[in-house]
Amino acid sequence: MTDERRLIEACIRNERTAQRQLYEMYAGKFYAVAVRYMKDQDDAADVLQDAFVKVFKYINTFRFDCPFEAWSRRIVINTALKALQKRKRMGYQIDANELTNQLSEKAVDISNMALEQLMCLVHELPEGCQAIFNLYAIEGYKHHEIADLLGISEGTSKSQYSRAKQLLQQKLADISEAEIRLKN
Amino acid sequence: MKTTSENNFEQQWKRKFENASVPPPSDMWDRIEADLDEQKKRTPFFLLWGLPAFVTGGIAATLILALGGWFLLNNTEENTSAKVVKILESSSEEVILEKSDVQTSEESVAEPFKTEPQETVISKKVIGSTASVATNKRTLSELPKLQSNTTGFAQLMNEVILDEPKAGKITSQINPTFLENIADNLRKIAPHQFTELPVRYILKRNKLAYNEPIINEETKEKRRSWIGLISGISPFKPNFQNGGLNNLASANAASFSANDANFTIQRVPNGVSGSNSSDMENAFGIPTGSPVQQFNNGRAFNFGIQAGKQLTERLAFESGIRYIQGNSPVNSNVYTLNQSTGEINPFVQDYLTQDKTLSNAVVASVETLKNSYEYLSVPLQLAYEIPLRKKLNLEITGGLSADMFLQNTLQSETTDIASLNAGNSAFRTLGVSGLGGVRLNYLFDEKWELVIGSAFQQALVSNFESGSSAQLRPQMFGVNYGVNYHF
Repeated sequence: MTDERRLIEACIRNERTAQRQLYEMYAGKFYAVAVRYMKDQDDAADVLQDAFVKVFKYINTFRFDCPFEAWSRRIVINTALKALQKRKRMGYQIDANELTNQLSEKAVDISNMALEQLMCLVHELPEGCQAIFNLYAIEGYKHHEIADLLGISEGTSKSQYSRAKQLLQQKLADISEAEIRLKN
Repeated sequence: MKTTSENNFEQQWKRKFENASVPPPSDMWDRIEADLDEQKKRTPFFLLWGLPAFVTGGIAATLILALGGWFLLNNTEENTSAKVVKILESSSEEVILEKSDVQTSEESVAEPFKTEPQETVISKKVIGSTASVATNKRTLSELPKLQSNTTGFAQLMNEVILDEPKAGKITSQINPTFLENIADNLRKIAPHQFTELPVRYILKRNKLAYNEPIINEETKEKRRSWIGLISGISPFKPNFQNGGLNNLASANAASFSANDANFTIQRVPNGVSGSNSSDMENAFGIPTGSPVQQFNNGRAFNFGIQAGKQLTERLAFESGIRYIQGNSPVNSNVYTLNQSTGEINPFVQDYLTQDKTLSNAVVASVETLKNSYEYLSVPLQLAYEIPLRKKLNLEITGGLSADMFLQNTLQSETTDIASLNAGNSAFRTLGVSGLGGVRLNYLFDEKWELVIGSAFQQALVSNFESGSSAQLRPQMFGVNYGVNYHF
């Protein structure tokens, strides 16, 4: 039996020390997820708090048929999406002007960029766009799954993702250009 | 910074973020722990789970039924016209209003906005810069007509217009902008049909809201007719009334014991089925206490098909066929003895079959008999639907059920299985029950609907024929669940 399994079973028995250990294991990762969805750090903290309370509340339903991290990460994501929907800040309007431009064929490599810098770029996306970008590009959801999750059409999910991608590529290109100019 | 091909875009972002970690606020664990502690404190409510399942089930079902009933009783539309008239009548004698001006019909509400000329007239009257309401009787009489279906609004208007209602004086002058805004708002809301908001909103206050057309369309679209499977479980309360059965048993036992010295009675030992009379003589010896025939509560389950048809927007008719089985263990110490065959039967069995051995009653030790009843039931009921969400409805049901009695099976450790039916016993072929219930319908697919709720069934007539002094009126109150297909 793995340590994590023992820890989870102790959490099912409501053992506070085990809950604390599990929290320590995943708090950082899950906070990064929450921060990625919420523009405000206080909101992200609220999401993390709610999500962990839900994880401990429903941990007895965890069947060990998938990695615990994936199971609880999904709770964090759902909590963040609910928080966004509650605040009614997710707009999915398509700005026709922004979508008329073709996506650039080349994209900037981000592997050497700092996480904080990338997080700022994600935060600059419109909120609806931001959630869809997170779900599709980072979480790996399909567009029809996102549509179900957010109660929107698959087409809206696709168009919002395109918009997010285009905006990010544009910003990355700007940064790249600025860096080149500085070097010269 | 280098460029790379576009199809790596998602992978790059995923790689960068999938294992990213950001230190959470330092007090985060304390906050989570406080939340967890708070949840623990709330657990006393759920101590109910410690009670037997049928008790908690009954409590839950009762609550649902009571809330549903309460909602139904409180959901009657208020006579807003009466309120408006009352306010106006009590406010001023100087303001002469005819009651006929205040109507609740949708036409009368929308009327002022239907045609341009009327609207213009009203607007002009309302907008008049310093016009005193007291001098414009027609304007006043129009205003309540505009608002006859919006009580709070109407009251507000009248309070504003009638500054000193108790003295019956109208001294205020209308702020034209204010009235113009109200007229605009009324123009917007007048075409809508208003109803009370659903349960959770009206528990403490009445609040009007207009139906979103989409709900009505969905309802009409989805719920014309349906067919489905239904099942349910519940406690089974037999409601058995002795009707002098114990006295009869006692008298018969005394008489039998006095007349036949060979059969002074004691409890039949386990394994003795009474195959010959000499065994029986050994088995029975000393007469014992008074007769006991106690019908205990048991459990019931049912399953069947149901079909329904929407009659009006909110009302539907429903019927179907269901098989019901209920068991009710019987504690009994009275038996009958067939002296010729040595056969022993529970006293209640021979009572129901009016067997001639009924007089050969013996009182022995108490034994628990397995006892079950089976019915084929045809419910006929009406369902009143209250939309809660787009896909979620609450339904309150009520009606009657025709119950065909199939059989009653009695068995003890010492007697053979007895199968009683309407042909060989005092059971009625057909009984009638009253039905009631509250249920939630959730449309989980375009055509498919999940149904869960509480259901109550009470036999209105005894399961025994009218000649029998004993009575059996089973009662079931439990949970029903099923699935419906709409077409």
